[in-house]
Amino acid sequence: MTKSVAFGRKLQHTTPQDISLQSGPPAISIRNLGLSYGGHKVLKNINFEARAGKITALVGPSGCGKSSLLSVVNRLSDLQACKVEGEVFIAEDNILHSAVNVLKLRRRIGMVFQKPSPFPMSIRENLLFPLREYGVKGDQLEKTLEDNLRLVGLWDEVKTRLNDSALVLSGGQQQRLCFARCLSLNPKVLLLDEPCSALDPRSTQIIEALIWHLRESHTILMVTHNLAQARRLADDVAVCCLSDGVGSIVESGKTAQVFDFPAHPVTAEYLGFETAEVRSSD
Amino acid sequence: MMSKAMSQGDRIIQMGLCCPALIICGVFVWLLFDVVSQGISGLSWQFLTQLPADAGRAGGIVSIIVSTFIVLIIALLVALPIGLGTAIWLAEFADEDQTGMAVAVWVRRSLQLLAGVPSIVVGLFGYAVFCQLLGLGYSLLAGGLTLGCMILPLLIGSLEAGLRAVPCTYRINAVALGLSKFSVIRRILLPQAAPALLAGLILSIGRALAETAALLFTSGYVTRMPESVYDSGRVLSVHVFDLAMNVPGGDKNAYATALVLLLGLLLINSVLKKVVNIWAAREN
Amino acid sequence: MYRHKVDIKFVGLLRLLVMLAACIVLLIFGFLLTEAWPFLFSEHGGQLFTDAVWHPTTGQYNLVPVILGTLYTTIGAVSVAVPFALATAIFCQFYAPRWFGRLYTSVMEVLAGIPSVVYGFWGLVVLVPLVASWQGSGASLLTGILVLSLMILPTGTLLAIAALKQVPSEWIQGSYALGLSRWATIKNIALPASGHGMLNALLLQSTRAIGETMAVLMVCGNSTLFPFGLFEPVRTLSANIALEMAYAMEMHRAALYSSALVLMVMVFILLFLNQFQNRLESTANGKS
Repeated sequence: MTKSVAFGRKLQHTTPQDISLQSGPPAISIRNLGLSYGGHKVLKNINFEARAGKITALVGPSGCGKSSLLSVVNRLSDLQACKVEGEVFIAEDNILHSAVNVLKLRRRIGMVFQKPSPFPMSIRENLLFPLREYGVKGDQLEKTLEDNLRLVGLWDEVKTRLNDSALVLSGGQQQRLCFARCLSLNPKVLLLDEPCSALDPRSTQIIEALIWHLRESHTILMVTHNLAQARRLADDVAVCCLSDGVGSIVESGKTAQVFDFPAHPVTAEYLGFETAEVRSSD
Repeated sequence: MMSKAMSQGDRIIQMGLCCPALIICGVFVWLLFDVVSQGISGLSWQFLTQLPADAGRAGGIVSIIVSTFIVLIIALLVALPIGLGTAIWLAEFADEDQTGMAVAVWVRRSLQLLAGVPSIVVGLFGYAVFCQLLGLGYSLLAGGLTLGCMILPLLIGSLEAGLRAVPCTYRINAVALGLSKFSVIRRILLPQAAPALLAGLILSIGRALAETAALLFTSGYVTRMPESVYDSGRVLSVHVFDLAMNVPGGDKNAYATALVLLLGLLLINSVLKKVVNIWAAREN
Repeated sequence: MYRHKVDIKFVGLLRLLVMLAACIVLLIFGFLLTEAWPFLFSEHGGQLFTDAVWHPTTGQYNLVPVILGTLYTTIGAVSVAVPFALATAIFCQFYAPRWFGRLYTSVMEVLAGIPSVVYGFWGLVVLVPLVASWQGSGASLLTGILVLSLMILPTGTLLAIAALKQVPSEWIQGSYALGLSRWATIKNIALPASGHGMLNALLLQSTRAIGETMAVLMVCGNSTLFPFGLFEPVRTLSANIALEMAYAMEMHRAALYSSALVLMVMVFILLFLNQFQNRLESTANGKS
């Protein structure tokens, strides 16, 4: 408990610069997590690890609470009237502790959503607005802008029209802009909520390459319903399934292990069915 | 909703229902035609630019128009900050916790009551508080303050609806980035909601312009050109009332003033429609 | 809850503004009460109902005729306006060509914004002589009812049309599909389903009519005698305040503030009824 308070304090004094100086990406450990909306249980007994600097895919049928689980990790769940039990450790700190400064926490954890959602302002301002908010000034701003747009492979496409509205970009470009926007704040953890499901195959390929590139420098927790994608990208997989209307993790481990030798019958059924479908459609 | 076939009975009912609609149209055409045809003869450039003379029977209404503008501006200056602040709180902060939601229920209830208070009663309140307690006397300032109280519920209602219409994804993204609500509201929500906010503002101006009873005992009757906000001044609607009721032979100018008032409201209404259309076009 | 430093100040400011907005109605009520106090809660209080007439200069304060005048004009105006609003709303929604419905709605929107003083003025110059040529002096309860009903009609019609529009179109189509006539559909489906919205419209417009000042002030004749007939002049609570406030002193003034309180209470009863039936409706919906 004292540790989490200390974590809150530690975060309060961090600035963009010293976050980047911090040691590598942290591991995420979720222990006995439960989630309920107004007495109605949505998730229970969630236990799994996301290893530091690896990609962990969260798969499972729709409606099993994968996205809700993801939103607990950066305390976005605070916005909804839901009750969270259990513990979520990032590195050594339980981020569910009430003394944690959630604003600093969210800064350290980037999140990209299913629907590309740039702010209704220029491409430049989409990145600079959050940075300025965090006190980044002067040349640093332009440098961060260029660095991050280059990182997501958008620089050459937009460098001549940085002042155009971000809403005129294509869906794939918008999504990459969202990646750049959250990466510009130097997060060590990335939460991706089906980041490719609203995109065409070409854009999906680019985003997947980007995610692969971000591995090792970031701990990535990614929700996807695309099992082929999970197989391509993820180091580890956690399978979330519904039983009696409540979601729980039935199995987790190395991707190859889970896909090829599922230990749990529910996993086998889910993966087998889906894989067969994916193969037949290829 | 329409199906082609209509039974015999339906035809008769259609005829029957057509009559009230025609009667209503007829009466309103009569009313508008009367005001326009009688008013247009009195309407001229001189009428708009001269001071009233002979208790309003002769001369123009320039001082009345100026007073009306000043009262409106004061009302907006008062109502806009309070209204915008309340609307922002109701739309963006009230749902954060249980206490906020409970308070919001009471705030809404109170605003509903305020919307229902008869304007003459608001006028009495304004008279007791602004004219007497604060010592402003009959003045444009007191009138504007009273009018500000009156338009507040309408203004808050439309401003809140405008803010709530902004898609939620912006808010969630901003929270995920750890941005402050203040800058999100300033940089994203307010600009996005701007056309809706403007529409609400115009609607409130229309309501304020039509108001008479609340201003009888607050801004007063004086027809002189106001020199400051502490002067008493007569607004358009009060001018119509006074010429019609208290000035024998004032009908001609009353008609012309009523026409000016109607044209002003029509202008406001068409600007409102345009703003709403622009907004709708941007949504698509 | 964690907030940015700037948000803490911002929320503080917002809370202050919200308090201000929410307190206005309390302030209004409070000021009316303080101003009315010397009259209402003294030996004079009972005079509102026991005196012979309303004649403040001689210390007689019978408010009953004025209250009755308010009730008569309001009830009269609402009962004239309701059938017209209902009929035109049904016509626009079910019987008229679509262009007519749209045109009618936008015309009503414009008319809803016409200041009450213009209605009153038109009533004074056109309706009063017209009624006078038929019977009495013209400035009468009847003229007041006509002008007031005309004034609440546009908004009433708009609300009635909105209530009809909220009836799910599948229900209507389903009824047509069963071969029911339009009138049967309206009677059995559209009207029952929109009843709540209609009642809402009625109560809201009654609130407006009861508090309206200018329109009735200009055409009702403003006599404080007991109103007995359609062609007799009447005075409403709001008109009474508008007429006498300018010269009222001391006890007379307090009596006028008391009459404003009476008016407020009448309005609040209507608003309360409206809220009550809203709640009934929402619980009924919650169960189904």
